[in-house]
Amino acid sequence: MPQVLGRWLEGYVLVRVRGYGPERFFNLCRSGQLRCWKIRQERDGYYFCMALKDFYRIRPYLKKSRLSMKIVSRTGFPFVLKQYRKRKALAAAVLSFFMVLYVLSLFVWNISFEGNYHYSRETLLDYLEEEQICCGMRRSQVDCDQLEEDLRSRFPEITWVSARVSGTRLLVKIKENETLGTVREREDEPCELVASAPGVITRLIIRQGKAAVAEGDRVEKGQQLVSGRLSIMNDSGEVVRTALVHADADVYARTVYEYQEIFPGYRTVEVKTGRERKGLGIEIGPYRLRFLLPDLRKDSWNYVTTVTQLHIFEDFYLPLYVERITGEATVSYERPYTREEKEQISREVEENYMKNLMEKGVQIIENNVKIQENGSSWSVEGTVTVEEQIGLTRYITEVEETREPDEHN
Amino acid sequence: MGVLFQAASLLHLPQDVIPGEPVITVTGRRNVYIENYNRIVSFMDNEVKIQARTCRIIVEGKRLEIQYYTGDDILITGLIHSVVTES
Repeated sequence: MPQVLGRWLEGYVLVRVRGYGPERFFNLCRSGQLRCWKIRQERDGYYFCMALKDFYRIRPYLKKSRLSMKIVSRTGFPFVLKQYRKRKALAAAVLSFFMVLYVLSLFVWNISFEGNYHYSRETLLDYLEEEQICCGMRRSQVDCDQLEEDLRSRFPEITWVSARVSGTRLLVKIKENETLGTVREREDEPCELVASAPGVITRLIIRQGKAAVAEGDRVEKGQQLVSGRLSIMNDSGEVVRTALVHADADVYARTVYEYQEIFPGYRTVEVKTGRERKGLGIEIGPYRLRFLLPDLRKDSWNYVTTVTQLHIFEDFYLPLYVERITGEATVSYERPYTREEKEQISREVEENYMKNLMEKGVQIIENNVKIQENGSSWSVEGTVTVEEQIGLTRYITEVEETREPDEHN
Repeated sequence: MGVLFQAASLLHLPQDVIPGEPVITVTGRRNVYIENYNRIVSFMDNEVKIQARTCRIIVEGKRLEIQYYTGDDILITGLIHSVVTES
């Protein structure tokens, strides 16, 4: 293939020679390093192809071997160029095409991120936009080093960034810190722990402070669990002073959560009629053009659009988006929920609720769900019993470190 | 010539290097590829005669074409009937 392309670019001629002893001519060509190929004998002579550059040197060899020559055809780029040299509009079009390509190559038309799990593409793009880095800006104006630094300082979870401009793409590779973690600072401010929810205490691990409840106690929301006030006694058991400390403890309690989700008695069902219509769209900068067959029956349609950004090479993205639109006609009607659907929905509601609870790090002990019919509507109601930490820090604002008068002084 | 062959075998060189023997490669019935040839003696669409240093190679067939030739090698295509060498 490269050889064929090379020959075409160089240009070659198909020649017919006649006379006695063409073999001598071919041997002379060989010694003179003239390239001949596809040599064949026909009734009216010998045909062969010869490179244009070598063809200009053929005359002495023909003379020596006493052959007559005729050009049968000309093939290749030099001849195409000669053929179209008077077509100025074509030349202008080709020239302007390359000019437009060159101008387009001066801008960034695609920004891609790699390795971002914690921060979404949209978050990062919004930030880049704040920093005046967006699609359509000059490539030369992108300061990759600055961008790397800015990203690292703005997003603390990003530990490593590499930004580079390749073609018309800005490629940003990110490595995020896998262990999400700000080290908890040790606090010394006096505080106490109160219950964040009502429940029955199951476990109590106190590191600092004084327990105000015991295991098995029922507590209400806001009730004090661990006190931050420590009374210091003298030998005779009298309170000398009260010291304020930072209460620190793990207080586990069995708590009950109730949830309810109400649904209407009827649901809207969309059924596909099987009719489809397809269309194409083109987006160039702020302009959008859509070609879609007209809808004569005035159905309701659900559209799915797939957008692809055009690119010439892997990294030469263009500001041109092609949309493939697929529409499906639907008919909607209302009907009551079936028993299976209600059960399915109740399972989903339950799973969602459990998932949210589990994310908080609680341990589920018991779980009851039921479907309640309320005439025109129905609801999913559930009760979950869990064991969780209920200690909530409440700072002690009053400064009341009292000291009893010393009897000895 | 015999001395050259002996020298080539003593030096563990390929047999075609020192004496300038032609190397003929036939691929199916379509291609004959000859290396180390001297000149084209005659060329017709049913017979091609090639002169090598030590022998003459006669390729017979139908619709024979010289696909290309350079200073060292030549590729003959067509429907090959026979490849004969004669001194």
